This record gives sequence, C-alpha cells and structure tokens, in this order.
Amino acid sequence: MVKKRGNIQEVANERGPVAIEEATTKGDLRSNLAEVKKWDGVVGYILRDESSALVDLNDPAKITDYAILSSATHEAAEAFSTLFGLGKIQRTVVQGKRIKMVSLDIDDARVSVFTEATADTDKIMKKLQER
Amino acid sequence: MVSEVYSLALKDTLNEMVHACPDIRNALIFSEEGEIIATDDGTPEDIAVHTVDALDEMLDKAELIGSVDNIAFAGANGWLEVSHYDNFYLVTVASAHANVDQAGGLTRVLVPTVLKVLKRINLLPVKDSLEELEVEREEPSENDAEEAADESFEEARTEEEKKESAQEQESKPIPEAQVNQFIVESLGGMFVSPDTVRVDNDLLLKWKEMYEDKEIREVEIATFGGKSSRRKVKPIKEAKFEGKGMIQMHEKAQSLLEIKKGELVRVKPVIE
Repeated sequence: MVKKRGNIQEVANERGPVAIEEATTKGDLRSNLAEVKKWDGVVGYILRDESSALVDLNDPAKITDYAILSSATHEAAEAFSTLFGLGKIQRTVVQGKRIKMVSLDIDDARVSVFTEATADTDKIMKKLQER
Repeated sequence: MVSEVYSLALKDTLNEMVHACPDIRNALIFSEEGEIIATDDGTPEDIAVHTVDALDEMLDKAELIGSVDNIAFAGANGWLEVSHYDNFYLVTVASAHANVDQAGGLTRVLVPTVLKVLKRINLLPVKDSLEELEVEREEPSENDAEEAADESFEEARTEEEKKESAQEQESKPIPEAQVNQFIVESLGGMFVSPDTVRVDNDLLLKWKEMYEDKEIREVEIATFGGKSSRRKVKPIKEAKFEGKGMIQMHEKAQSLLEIKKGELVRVKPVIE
C-alpha cells in the first residue's frame, strides 16, 4: 500500500494490528519528526520500522539515494558493532560538506534525519527522543 | 599506490596515538581508493579489511552530501569515528568511557600533521649538492612517435625562446637549482620513452615561477648510491600519483641508475 501526501510517501505492508503502546510511541515519533522537519536547515527524514517506511524530503528526486545512504549507514553500524564489540549503535552522525545525517534507533524504528551541514543536530536528537 | 615510507610513518603514528591514549582501541588509515595504508599493531588486517568493506557503500553515496568530512558511530560499549583528511580516511575505535575530547583532539591534530609533514618532505629542498655528483646522459633507445614529435616541437620552440632571451638572461643572476627528494614509481606502457620522467605538475609550475618563467624541460636525477642522469621531464598524467612525492620513471632508466621502485632519489631542475 502506498500513500502520498505532498513529498511524504508512506509504504506499508499488511501485517495486521499493532499494539496500542507501540502505536502511541510511533505516533509521538512521527509527530516529533513532522515538527523537526519544519525547523530551519532540516531537509528531510526517513523513518523505518519492521512494517513500513515514511519518507519526507525536500527533494523527492533523491529519495532513493538518501534511502541507500541511510540503509548503508545502518548496515555499517551493525558491522562495527560486531567487529569491535561496540554494543548496540545508538546514534550515527555523518558530517558531509553540504549535508549532515543523523541516524537514531528508537525502539523498533530507525530514523535518519538530513540537515544542512551547519544545523544543530543535538537539538534534533533531543526532540526525537522525547515521549 | 602509497609508498612503504608513508605506510611505516603512519603505522608508527597510529601506534603512538594508541599508546598516548589507551582508550583508543584500534586505529587504521585507508585511502580513498580503499587501500589500507596502515593499522596500529592491535588491529589485525582482516578486521581492517572488513572495516573498509563496511564503509564502502556509505562512502560511495557520499557525493550526495558533498563528500564525507566525518562519521561517528556511538555504541553502548564504545564509539567508532571516521575522519577524512586529504585522500585518506582515519578510523579510530575507542571505549565508551574514553575521554572524547582527548582522543578526538589527539587524532585531529596528530594524523593530519604527520600527513602534512610526509607530503612536504618530498618537496623540501635538500642541502646536499648535486654538483659534486657525476652527470651521465643516457641516450633513448625507443620513443613514442607522438611524444617524440611533441618533444621535437618543444625543443625547436625552446631553441627559439633561448635565442630570444639569451642576452637578457646573461645579465640576470639565476637562483640556484632547488633539489627535491622523490620516491621512484615505475612508468610503464608501450609508448613510454625511457628518456622521460614524470613529476607533479605543481612542482613544474613552482619551478617555472621560481626560475623567472623558464620552462623546465630537463631534470638531473641523482641516487644515494652516487649515480646520476639527466632526463626530460613532463607532468604526471594519472591523478592518483599526484601530490604523493613521486617521480615516475621507465624501468630501463631505473636500471641504468641502479635503483628500484620505492627508492628515494634527488631531483633538481636543469636551468639553461
């Protein structure tokens, strides 16, 4: 099932009902992401969980590239966790010359937020971890 | 390919870094091409290979974000940081209780400084004079037709330029030729003349500027074994060899100078 709302794309599979508490957490996370997306310097985000992915990017033409970067970052994090015994990787910050990406694991969800290189990502991380 | 001199110097740097800051558990450096340049003694090669593999796809997509400056993975039991300096990536792994400022400060200062020093060493003037060494001229045995045509044209033009400026040059003092050290890299291919060596274009431009816009067409190469030879000089073509302090030389020229790839030679421009 694919829903489109402007630049937002939601992709979900049919997996039946989810627990109410989980839905609330996801609801908080989604509303926090929607708020963060309005902040200066934020260019978009990708939210993934076991059953769906929610993408909101200023430049929808680059959705695939951002999704690959987000996914490659997650795979690298898993590899490093095993290789160097780092434990669960809680956050990853990729600082590029133009864009910065922050990836966080929040419960079962994996969030990647893309911002301009100079944006305050600490503030974003704090907001996303709020309940 | 990065020379052994670079690798050893960087390996020592990583080891010192780990000794100075025991919270750093692993450290390695790899090139933008994915070649592992150095690891500290505590990082096995297979781990280094897996690390580079794990970063491969991320770095491939880095163009999207304007190339990577830094990546930090923060785990429950430690963190891993990737820092980009020039053509190299430095990976450091530290324990969770590491003093981030100390470890980060050390890596951010030490490694770039060593890289800078290594880069500059090959371009710094050496005090030893080449004048004392015997200069031999080796005749070319095989020439690339195209290159030879270029060279004849350039030679003809040089002759013309020489005549034009001969009088004014006589009256002007010419600065003493600058001697540089280079690592020998082989120059292969069917159409490569053994009479021509290649160095960084930046250096040729620097010489040109230094010697009042004189076109430097030849260099004197001297080995530490006392052999020397004069060769035509052209800029390095492959970007991957630029800025590495290398002189590309045909194997025949290496053999005449009794040197091999990876050895150091002294090079100075011929100013006529």
